[in-house]
Amino acid sequence: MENTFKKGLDGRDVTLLASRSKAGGKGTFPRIPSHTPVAGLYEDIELSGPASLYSYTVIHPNPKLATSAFVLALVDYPGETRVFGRLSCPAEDLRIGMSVHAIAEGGGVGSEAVYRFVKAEEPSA
Amino acid sequence: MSTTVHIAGTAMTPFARHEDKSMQDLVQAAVLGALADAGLEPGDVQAMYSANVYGGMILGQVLARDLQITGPALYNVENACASGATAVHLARQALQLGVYDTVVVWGVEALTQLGGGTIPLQRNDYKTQLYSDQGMTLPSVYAMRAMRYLYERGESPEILARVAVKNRAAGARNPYAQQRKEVTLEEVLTSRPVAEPLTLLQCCPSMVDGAAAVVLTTKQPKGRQKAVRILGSAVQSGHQELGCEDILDAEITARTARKAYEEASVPPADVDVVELHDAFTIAELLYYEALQLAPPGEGAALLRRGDTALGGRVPVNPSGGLLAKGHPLGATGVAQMVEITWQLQGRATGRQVEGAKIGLTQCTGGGIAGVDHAASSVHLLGV
Repeated sequence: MENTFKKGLDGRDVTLLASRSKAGGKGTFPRIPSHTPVAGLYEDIELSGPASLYSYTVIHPNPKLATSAFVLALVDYPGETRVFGRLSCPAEDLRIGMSVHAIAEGGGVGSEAVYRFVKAEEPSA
Repeated sequence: MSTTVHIAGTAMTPFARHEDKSMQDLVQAAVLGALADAGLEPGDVQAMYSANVYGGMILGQVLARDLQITGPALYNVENACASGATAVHLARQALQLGVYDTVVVWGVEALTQLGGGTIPLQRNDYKTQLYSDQGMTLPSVYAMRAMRYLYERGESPEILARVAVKNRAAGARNPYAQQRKEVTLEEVLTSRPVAEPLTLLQCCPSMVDGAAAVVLTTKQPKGRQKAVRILGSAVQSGHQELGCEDILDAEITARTARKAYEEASVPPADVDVVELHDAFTIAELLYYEALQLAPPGEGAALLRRGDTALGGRVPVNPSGGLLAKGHPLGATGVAQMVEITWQLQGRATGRQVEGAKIGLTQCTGGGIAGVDHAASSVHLLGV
């Protein structure tokens, strides 16, 4: 699996690595692997900045697992690319259309960093 | 290809936790039952089609061996939830081409041995693997559709729960259904949340086993029941999802249905009874529109009017559907045809749609990221 994102200068905000179909101009995430025979059908693009929450669900794991509820989301980036992932956000704040952005999480000893979405800061009035 | 293909015989096991039975036991019961229903002997079978998802290599041969129907061509078919329907589609093609005149198709699945919980997604794909690691499951995919549906249509979760109430009421009348208890709206809405807005009673049971079989023939059926014909049969695969597509547009199902209607020369308004793929409540609402049972945007109104309930204009899932009957993946598509055949023959005791002449079955299978479902199959049956 190739990298799915790269970290920004602050080490937390990330740019997601995606592809755009040369045929229709629409995006797909994660990036089409560069070594594959179809790689030439796509061009590399990068997804950064705020994106819009298209839909979400709050997952309630089976009580036997004793795991906390968590949020999964479909997030739309400008330029026609949709990304699925976890969203760290209080349930009461969730609303379709809200602004989110991607961050890196984890990556300590023995674990690989993964992307997550968080609620974007509201612009001050 | 105008050769008429008949469903000459049908049988299925109850869908239940058959922990004491092997898949061989289940298939043997279904196949022998279907042959007896058709008035045929094992020696009349010229080819076999075996549908299954999780059973492993050459499962069909394992299942057929002790039946002593060995020697003829045996095709193992896997297409996720649409496996059984795809097997019928392939069998019909061969019959129409004159390769065979009588074949048997079965579907089987033993999910109990997987231990319950959500059905695993395909893992031989970098994209599905990444999204699975992030938490994607089939319930979560449908839940996000449901959340968007409520948002765009201005509906409350009650509309989803109505599907479960309707189908579980039908299932209570079906001795082949796993869950035979009627439920109220309140019980559905207050059952354990699984993936909001979906609650437990809005998800099909995953601890279920079962088998179903049909005998297809181009000869005049010998059985005592009305001859049921396959009028139209379509299978399609999902387009690659690029960009930001409308997840409420069940495009693959709509496309497959159009092909089946066209082949059958049957308009949607002529369909009397439907068995569709209600793995989750939201699916049934979306498929009303994809199958043209309701105009775009009017699926909820169709449900509210009672048009799709038993006694309504076009009853949907009189068997209880996947929600009540259970969803042993490989068996589901064949079981839908068994139910519609029984409905058209007037032998769906306790849940009969009176006077039904044309029925429709629909299965749409998923399990990978990046396509609008993997496979869809729609069949139109008639007497």
